[in-house]
Amino acid sequence: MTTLDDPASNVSSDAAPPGLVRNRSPVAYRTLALWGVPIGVIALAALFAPLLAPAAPDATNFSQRFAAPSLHHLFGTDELGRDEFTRILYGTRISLGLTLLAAVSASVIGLVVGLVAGFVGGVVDQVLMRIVDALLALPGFILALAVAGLLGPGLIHLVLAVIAVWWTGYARVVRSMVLSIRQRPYVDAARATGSSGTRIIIRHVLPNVAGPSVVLVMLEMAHILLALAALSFLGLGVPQPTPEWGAMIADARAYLDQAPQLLAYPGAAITLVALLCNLAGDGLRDALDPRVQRHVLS
Amino acid sequence: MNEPEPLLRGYLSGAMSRRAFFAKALALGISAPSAAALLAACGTSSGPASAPAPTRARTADLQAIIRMAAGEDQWPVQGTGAKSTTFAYPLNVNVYEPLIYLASDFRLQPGLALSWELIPPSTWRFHLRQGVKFHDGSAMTADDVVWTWGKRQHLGKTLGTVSSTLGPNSVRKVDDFTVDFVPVIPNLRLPEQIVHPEGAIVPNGKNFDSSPPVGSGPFQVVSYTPNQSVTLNRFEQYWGTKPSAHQMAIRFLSDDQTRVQALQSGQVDFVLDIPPQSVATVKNTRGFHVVSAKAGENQLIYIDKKGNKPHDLGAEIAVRQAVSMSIDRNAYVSTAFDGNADPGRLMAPAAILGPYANLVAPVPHDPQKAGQVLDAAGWKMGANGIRTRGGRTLSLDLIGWAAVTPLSFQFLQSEMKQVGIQANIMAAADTPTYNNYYKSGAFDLDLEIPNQNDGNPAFLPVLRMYSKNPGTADFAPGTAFDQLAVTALDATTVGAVQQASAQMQQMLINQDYIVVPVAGVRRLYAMISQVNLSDPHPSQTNQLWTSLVKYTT
Amino acid sequence: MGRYALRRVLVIVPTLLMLVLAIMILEALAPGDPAEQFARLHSTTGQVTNADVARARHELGLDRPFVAQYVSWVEGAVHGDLGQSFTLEKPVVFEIDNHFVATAELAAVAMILTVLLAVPLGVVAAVRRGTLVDHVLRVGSLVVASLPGFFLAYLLIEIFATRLHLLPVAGRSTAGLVLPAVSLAAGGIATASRLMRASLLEVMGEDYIRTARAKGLTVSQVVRRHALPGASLPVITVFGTLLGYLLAGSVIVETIFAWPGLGQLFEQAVTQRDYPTIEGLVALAGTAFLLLNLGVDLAYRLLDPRIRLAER
Repeated sequence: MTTLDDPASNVSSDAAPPGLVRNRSPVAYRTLALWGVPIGVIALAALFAPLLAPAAPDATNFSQRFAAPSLHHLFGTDELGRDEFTRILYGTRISLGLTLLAAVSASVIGLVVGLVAGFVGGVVDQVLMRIVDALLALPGFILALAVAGLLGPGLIHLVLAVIAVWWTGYARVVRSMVLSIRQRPYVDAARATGSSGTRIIIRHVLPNVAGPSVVLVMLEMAHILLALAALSFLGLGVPQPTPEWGAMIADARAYLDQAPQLLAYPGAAITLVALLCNLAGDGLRDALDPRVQRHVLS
Repeated sequence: MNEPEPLLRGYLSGAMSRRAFFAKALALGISAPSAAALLAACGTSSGPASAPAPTRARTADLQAIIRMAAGEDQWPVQGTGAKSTTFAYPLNVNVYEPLIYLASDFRLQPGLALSWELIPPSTWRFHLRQGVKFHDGSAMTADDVVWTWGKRQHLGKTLGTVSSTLGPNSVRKVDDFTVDFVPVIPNLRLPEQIVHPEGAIVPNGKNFDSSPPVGSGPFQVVSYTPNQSVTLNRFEQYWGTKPSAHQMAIRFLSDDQTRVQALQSGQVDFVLDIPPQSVATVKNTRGFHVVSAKAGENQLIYIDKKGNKPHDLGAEIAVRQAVSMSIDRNAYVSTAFDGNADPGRLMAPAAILGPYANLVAPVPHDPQKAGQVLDAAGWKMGANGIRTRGGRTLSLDLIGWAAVTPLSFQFLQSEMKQVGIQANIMAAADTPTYNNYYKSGAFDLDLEIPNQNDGNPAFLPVLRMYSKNPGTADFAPGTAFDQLAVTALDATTVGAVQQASAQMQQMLINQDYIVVPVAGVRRLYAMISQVNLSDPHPSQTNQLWTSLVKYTT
Repeated sequence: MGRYALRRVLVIVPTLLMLVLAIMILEALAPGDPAEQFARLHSTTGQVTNADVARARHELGLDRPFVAQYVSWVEGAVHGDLGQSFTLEKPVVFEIDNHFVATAELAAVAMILTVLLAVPLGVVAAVRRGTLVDHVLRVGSLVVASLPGFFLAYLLIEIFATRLHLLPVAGRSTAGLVLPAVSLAAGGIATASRLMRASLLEVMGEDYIRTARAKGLTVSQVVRRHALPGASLPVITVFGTLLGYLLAGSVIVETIFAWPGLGQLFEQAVTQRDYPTIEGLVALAGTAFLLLNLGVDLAYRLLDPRIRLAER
C-alpha cells in the first residue's frame, strides 16, 4: 500500500549517516550507475517530451477515441482521442518533476531545520524537534491527505502536502549528523580559532551533510512518487487536463471495458519508475550500510 | 456575484457526490403576488405509477428479493439526527409519501391526497385518501398532515418556497380527511412544489428520525446499516399498487464503476445510475439489460454577463452567441454520453412544457456564424487559433459541478476553440471547491446539471433568473424576464405556466444566449435479464420501485 | 526501564497536543468556510445571508479566538468528547465508534496476512542470500512495493471479481474482506519481508552466531536456535511499522472497496472540511501510532540482550 513510512528505509537511515560519510565504496557508485542509467533516460525523455512526443498532450480528436495501439499511436488513444503515449510521456514530466520538487524542497527545509536544531541546540532545538515529533506521530500519508484535502486541489497544494510530511524525517537525520559532526576535532578547532557559527556550518558541516542528504532524497523518491499519485488519484491533485499518472488511472477506470490498456499504461509507468527508484535506493542502501555488508552465512 | 446555492444544486440534481449537501432540498424562493384563482387538476387515479405489462409473458416472482446497488449512503445526513427529514436517498418516495406524486411524465398524480382545489384567494384544500395505513399500522388522517407540516415548520425542515410561504399555523384540519394549507404569502404553485419526498407525511407524534422510519409508502424499512446496506420489505397494507418484489436488499456502492462491476460479477441484480459509457458493455453482455428514463436533468452552461473584469466578456452578446453556436450538441452527446443523452435544447424536460416546448428552437451548430459574429465584434483570429481584440485574448473560465466529467469539459473546450474562444477548465473535484469558484465570481461559464423534480413547469427559469430570488438568481436578465416570471407564478392554468416558462426559456436560450443547454441527461439503470423496471422516472427523488419486477426463470 | 517507559508515556501527551495544534492551524489557514456550508445546510429559504453565516459560525464555535477553540478541544478530549461533526451533526466519538469495527477487522486480517507471509519470505531470502531465490524474492517484493495500491486494487477487482466472479467487487461482507485485505497487506508484506531479511542478516553477522557456526552447527540449526530468536525483534518492529501502512492504506482501500471504516470517514471529513472529525481521527491515529511504537520500543528493550547489557 502506498505509504510514506518504509520501515526498511527507517532502519537503515538511522544507521546510514555515519556509513555514508565514510563509506563511499565503488560498489555504491556502480549500483547507482546501474539503476541510475534507466532513471536518467526516463528523466531525459521527460525533459525532451515536446520533441519526442508525436502530438500535444491535450490535443483531442473525437473521431479517434479509444484507438488501438498502432504505429501512429504507439499506445493508442484515450477517451478524448488524445495520444496515450504522449500523455504518458508528459506524465513523466509531471510525476518526476513534482516528485523531485517535493523531495528537494523537503530536504532543503529538513536540512535547514536540522542544521539549526543541531547547531544552535537548546530551546530552539527542543521546540523544532517537538514539532518534528508531533508531525511524525501520524502516518505520513494521513498527514499528506489532511494537508492536501484542506488546501484543496492544485499542483502546488499537492507538493506542499508532500513537503509538509517529508521535511520532518530529513530534519531529524540531519540533526543527528550535525550532532555527531560537532564533536569532531576539526570543528572544535575551527571554533577555537574563532570561526563564526555560520562559517563553521558552511565550511565544515554542510559539505559533510550534503552528500548523505542527496542519498536520502534518492531513497525517498519512490515513496514520494507513490504518495503523489495516490493523492491525485483521490482527486486532490492536478487540474484537468494535466496528464498526471494517478489521475489518469482514476479516469481510465470508467473505460475499463472499452480500453483496459488506458489503465495499464499509467499503472505500469508508475510502477516502473517507482521500481527503478526503489532498486537504486535499495542497492545504495546495501552498498553503503556497513552492517549489512558483514555477513557470514551465504 | 451573489452567493451560490449548493443545496439547491443538490436538490436539483437529485444526486450529488458529496453527501453533506444532500442534507436538505430546497425549492424555489418565490414571493408570489397573486390574486387569481386556480382550480388545479384533480385526479382520480387509483395509485401512482402503476406498472405496465412486461415485454414478454413472464411470471413475476412475488417472493423475489431484488439485490440493488445504490450510490453513496446519504441517510446519515438526510434521514436522522438534528437535520432529519423525510427525504433519504435512495429511499426517496418509496417509504415516505407526499400528498401528491410527480408521475414519470411530470404530471401531478394523487398521492395521499385524492384531490385538491384552490379556495380563493389563496387557500389550498386537500381531500385526503381514506384507508391509508402507516407502517406502524395506524390509519392516516388530517391530524397526521397537520402534525407533519407543523413539525416541519417548527424544525425549519423546509421544502424551499413552500415553507417560506407558510406560517406556523398555515396547515389546518378541516375534518378527518380534509386539510387546508393557508399560505401567509399567496402561492399558486404550492401543489406542484410538495411532490418532493421532503414534503411527505409521517404519523401524528412520530419524528422524522424515528427508527425504523414509519411512513405510508409501498416499502417499509426492515434493517439499516449506515454506509453499508438498507433492506426494505413490501408493505402489505399499502393503499396503491403493491410492489412486485417481496424485498429490496440495497447495498451502498458510491463508485459508479464499482456498481457496474457488482452487477457484472453477479453480486447484485439491479444498479442505480450507471455511467453512460457503461451502457453498451452491459447491453452487449448476455444476461443483462439497461433501462433508461427520459431526460430529466439538463446540462446547461450559464454565461455570467454581470462579471467584473477580467470576467466581463460574458456581457457581450456576440461572445455568448458564439459560445452557444460553437457547440455541436449531437457530437457532444455521442461523445460525452455514448449517445445516452439528448442534444441540449431546453432548461427543463420537454414533457413538462407540454405543447409549448416547441417555442424554444434548437440553437444550431454553426461555427461559421459564430466566427462572423465574433469578427463583427472586433475579435480577430490570432496565429495560435485564439481570437484577440486590442491585445486582449478571448479567454473564458469554465467551471462546473463536481459531477461534470473531464470528457464533457474537454469536449466543450475543444468546440469553443474551433471558433477561436479559449475556454479554461476549472474542474472541481468536490462540491466545496466548486462553491468556492462560484462564490468568488472568477468564472465566465458555469456548467450545471439541474434536475426537474418539482411539478412547476417554470421551476428552474424562475429559480435561477427571476430577480426577486436574490439567493439563487445570479444571472437574472432583467425586467422583461421578470414580467414573464410573474406571469408564470400567477398563472391559473397549467397551460399558462407552461407557456410562460417556454417564453422565458426562449428569451434565455434563443435571444440572449445567457443559457446554453448542451445535453438532456437520462437516468440509466442496469439489471439482469430477470429483472425489469417498467416505469423509470426522469427524476431520482420521485422514482418508485413498485414497477421493479423480478421474474421467475 | 520503568522510568524510561514512564518518560516515554508522558511524552506522548504533549506530542499529541502539538499534532492537533498543527492540524488546527492548518484548518485555520485553509481556504473554504465550514460555517457557510453549515449555514446552507440549515437555510430554510435557499438563501444565506452574512448573518446566517455568522450565526452558523457561532453555533460551530468557529467565532471564538483560535486559542479558545484549541483549549476547548483539549478540555473536551480529556473528558472523552471530541466535539460534534459539522456535516453529520453527531458526536465525533459516535462516528468513530460507528466506523471503528470495519477498519479493525480489515486491519487485523491484513496484519495476520502480512506476518504469516512476510516472516517466512524474509527468512528464506536471508538464508538463501545471494541465490536465485533471494533475488527473485527481493525483486518481487520491490515490484509489489512499487505498485500503487489503488492500481493493485483495481487489478485484483478486475481479475477476481469482474472476470472470475470469485469474490465481491466491493461492500462489507465476509467474502468481501479478501480483496481489500490483500490490497492492504501487499505493500506491507513486501516491505516487511525485506526488513525481516535485512534484520536476519544483521543478526547472523553477530558474534554469537559466528561462534555457533564455528562450533559446527548447520545453517538451519543456527537459524532456528539462534538467529530467529534474535530476529524476533524485527518482527515486533514489523508490527509497529505495519500500523502506519494499514492506517495510510485504509484510506484508499476503503474508498475503493466501499468499506465503511475510519479511512473512508477520514477521506470524507477532509474533503468536506469537517474539522472536528478530522481532529478526532488525527488524534486517534496519532495515539494508536505513538502507543504502538512505544510498545515496540519497550519490547525491544526487554528482549534485546544488547540493549539490556548497555543499560547496566
